[in-house]
Amino acid sequence: MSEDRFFQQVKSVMSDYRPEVPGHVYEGARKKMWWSNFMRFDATRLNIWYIALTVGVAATIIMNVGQPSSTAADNLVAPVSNEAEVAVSPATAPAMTEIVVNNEGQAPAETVTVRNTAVEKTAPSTANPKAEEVVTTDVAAVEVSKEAEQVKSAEPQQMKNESQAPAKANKRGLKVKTYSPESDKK
Amino acid sequence: MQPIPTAMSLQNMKDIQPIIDGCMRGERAAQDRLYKKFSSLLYGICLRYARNKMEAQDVLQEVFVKIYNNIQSYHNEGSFEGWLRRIAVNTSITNYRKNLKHAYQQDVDELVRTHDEPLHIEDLEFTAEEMMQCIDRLPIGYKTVFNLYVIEGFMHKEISDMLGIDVNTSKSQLSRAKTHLQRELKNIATIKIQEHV
Repeated sequence: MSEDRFFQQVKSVMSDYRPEVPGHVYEGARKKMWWSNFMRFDATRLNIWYIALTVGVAATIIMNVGQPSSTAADNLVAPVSNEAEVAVSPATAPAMTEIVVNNEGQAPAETVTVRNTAVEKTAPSTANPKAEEVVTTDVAAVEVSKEAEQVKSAEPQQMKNESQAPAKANKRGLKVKTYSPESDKK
Repeated sequence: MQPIPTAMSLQNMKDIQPIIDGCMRGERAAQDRLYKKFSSLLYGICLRYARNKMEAQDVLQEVFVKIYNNIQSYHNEGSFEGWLRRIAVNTSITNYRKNLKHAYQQDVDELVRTHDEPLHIEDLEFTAEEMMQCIDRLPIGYKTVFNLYVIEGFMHKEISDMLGIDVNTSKSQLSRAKTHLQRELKNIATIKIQEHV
């Protein structure tokens, strides 16, 4: 009976015991809470599992890129440079490829011709760095196409010059002597 | 059997329910309010079981982490305060069992001091701080059994299962704790009487 009284006395006093909690305890609890959430798998927030997954994927990509694959090595073509020589086998080369970049009326900066066996690169004929580039894999076709191109471009230019020159000269008060093949024969 | 809710407890539940709902949604403001409302109560529980204030503060932090992480498992069945108390007690017991090796040494050291004859101090009044001061001086094993039996209301069988000790050990530790506590309280009462005179 006495024991029960004593225990009841202790219980009634201690059940209302509410000491003041130091302020730093809650900060510690929040830190533990953050760490607990970080370590726990949860698809809705950033946690260690996401980071592990990202690191794993990145490592896999790096490992795969580091090892050269056989197909990539076969299809690799070195970029064309002044010193470079690229061998193109006639069997694997396309039928004919021609790229002409002509900047109106300006001299070609350099001409790159890709033949069946090698790449040749010629220095520009003038200091103008604008480029005319002819790339072909068929030598005969390149030459024929070049000639045809020159003829095509030369004829209209000549005709244009012949028709416009007398008019311009007359405007300046000069005598114009026109040249023709017939007069040349004479 | 569930206890019948009183008008007071229903009013308390009305006040607490928005906080519980906010905590279930993981709202920081609700968690802060929950901490402000119950931290001192739970700190008192942790202090009763811990060896010192630092340990009690560590346990209290763990208690709140458990509450925030497991609040979804509270289904409004029974008192919310009771649920919080249970978490605090269970966490304290886990902490006690973790440090059981050190506790045993302390208990053996204190055994020699428990041969005093029982004192009758039931008619004296003590504050919670004085009582806490005396409980704090008990060896950790006595303190744990005393708290579980006297304040939480567990039976010796339950205590023996929780602490992994024999039922008779639980009974003897309670008896020694009582004797020890009464002696400490008598000392405090004597000092108070001397100061008053």
